[in-house]
Amino acid sequence: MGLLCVIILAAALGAETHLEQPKAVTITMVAVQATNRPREQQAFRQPQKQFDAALEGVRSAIEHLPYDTFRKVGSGKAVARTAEETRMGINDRYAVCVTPLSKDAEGRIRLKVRIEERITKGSKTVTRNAIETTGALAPGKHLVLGGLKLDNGELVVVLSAESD
Amino acid sequence: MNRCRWEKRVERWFDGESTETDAVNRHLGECPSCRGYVAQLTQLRDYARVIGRCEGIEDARFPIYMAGIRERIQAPRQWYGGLWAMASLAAAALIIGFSTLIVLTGHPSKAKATSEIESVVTEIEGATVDAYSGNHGDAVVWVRFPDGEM
Repeated sequence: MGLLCVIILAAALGAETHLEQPKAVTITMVAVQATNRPREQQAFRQPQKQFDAALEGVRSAIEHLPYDTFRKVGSGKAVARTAEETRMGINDRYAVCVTPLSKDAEGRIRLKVRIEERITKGSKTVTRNAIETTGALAPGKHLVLGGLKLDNGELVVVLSAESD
Repeated sequence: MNRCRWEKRVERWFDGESTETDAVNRHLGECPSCRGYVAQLTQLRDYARVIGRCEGIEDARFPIYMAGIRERIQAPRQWYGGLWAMASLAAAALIIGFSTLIVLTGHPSKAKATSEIESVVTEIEGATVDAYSGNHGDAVVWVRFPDGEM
């Protein structure tokens, strides 16, 4: 019986070690400007939602959002090491910073994500965390961050991650 | 080899069932086949005597004989039996352990896994930020500004 307990304990410990942290995570980022067309155009000219051709890969992640026009404003792909922050610029104003934390039992990659925003206060330019979030990103799924102002629309950032 | 028709009579004489010794002896003098047969029977009888002799145990040696039996009965069991039992137990435990492992952990189900938000904050003054589940297992974080502010 003692031997049995030892073996089951060893198996359980084996399960824990199976959840090892990935050394590196490949992060894919697509930045989108989401806008709504003027009401008269919505009614008569272009009743359907419009997506840039380059957004086909993330269309399923953003098509439910309450906008009718989606335009790609940037994208990036980076290999991020666990517990190290990787920065991907979108434009002069925004940048996405991703820190992989761990991988959970369901294969999801836990990430800390910041969207940095550079703003001018008086004569100074400062940086603030427009969004700072921690979450688990499932394989093949997306993390969608949005609502930030971008010209006459809103910024939507779509992230996906794959571990090595 | 041809068998002699006297063979049965010779056999009965050899076994002491017949009294025709003179006739058999005369025939044996003339028949090499029956002489060979008698030689075989003689040899067979000698072997049977040797086998049939029982080994006796003398009274003086009997205690030693019994002590040997007792020693064999009381000797500890061979270790090999225990070794096999332990190996079987270990194999069974391994099977149970791995089965438990598979049941408890399972394989990561990529199709069923969904993205989740643990925490979210914003440093934008006056703005709030929400997290919710989007389409197809995606997670959505959305910053909301007070009405009218751009």
